[in-house]
Amino acid sequence: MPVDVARLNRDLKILMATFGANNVTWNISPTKGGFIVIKHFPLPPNIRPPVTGLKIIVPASLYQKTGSGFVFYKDIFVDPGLQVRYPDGSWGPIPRHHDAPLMERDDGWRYLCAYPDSVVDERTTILDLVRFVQVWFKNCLALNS
Amino acid sequence: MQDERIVKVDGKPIRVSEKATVAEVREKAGLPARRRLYDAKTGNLLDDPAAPAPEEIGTIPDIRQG
Repeated sequence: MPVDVARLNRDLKILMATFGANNVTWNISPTKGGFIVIKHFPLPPNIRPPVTGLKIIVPASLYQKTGSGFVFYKDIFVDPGLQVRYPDGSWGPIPRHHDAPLMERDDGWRYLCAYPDSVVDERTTILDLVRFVQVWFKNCLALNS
Repeated sequence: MQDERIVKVDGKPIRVSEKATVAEVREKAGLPARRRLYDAKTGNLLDDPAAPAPEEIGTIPDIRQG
């Protein structure tokens, strides 16, 4: 089943309205999926640097119905070298941020192994995922404990 | 009669008492105990159930291991 193009287009419009039209790019085939990139995604003050690229994988069957809801966006990638401020004031690695290339050829993206495990219904949009990422970074030390 | 206010939980308005705590909003919204809450305006976790509830609350879904 191909991507639900209507819902995908709605998500792209939401992202452009939220982050700026020039700040959002994508490369998506309706039958094969692809990815969306937010070039400058703002991070909370406990993370440095203050912005990252955010790459979201679009599965080939995005928003098609499943037994429990709808297919949703898949994996999340961010920039290398992100750090979180620890309670003692030092800066160090972010939990679930795999700061090494997944493939032999380094494409400059690092896998963020955190994903909302929630039901995707008719009202769910990509903003639910984006908001999750923001809250995750803000609270990553507590949420990973 | 006790004064009331509206607290939004995941965008859905819920009428609570003026001095409602995080725990009271959780109960009124029927949220599962395991679902963690955050202040939707600051992104801060709401770890103190006795603290006054902020105007907008978000719920953090369980996190799936990637």
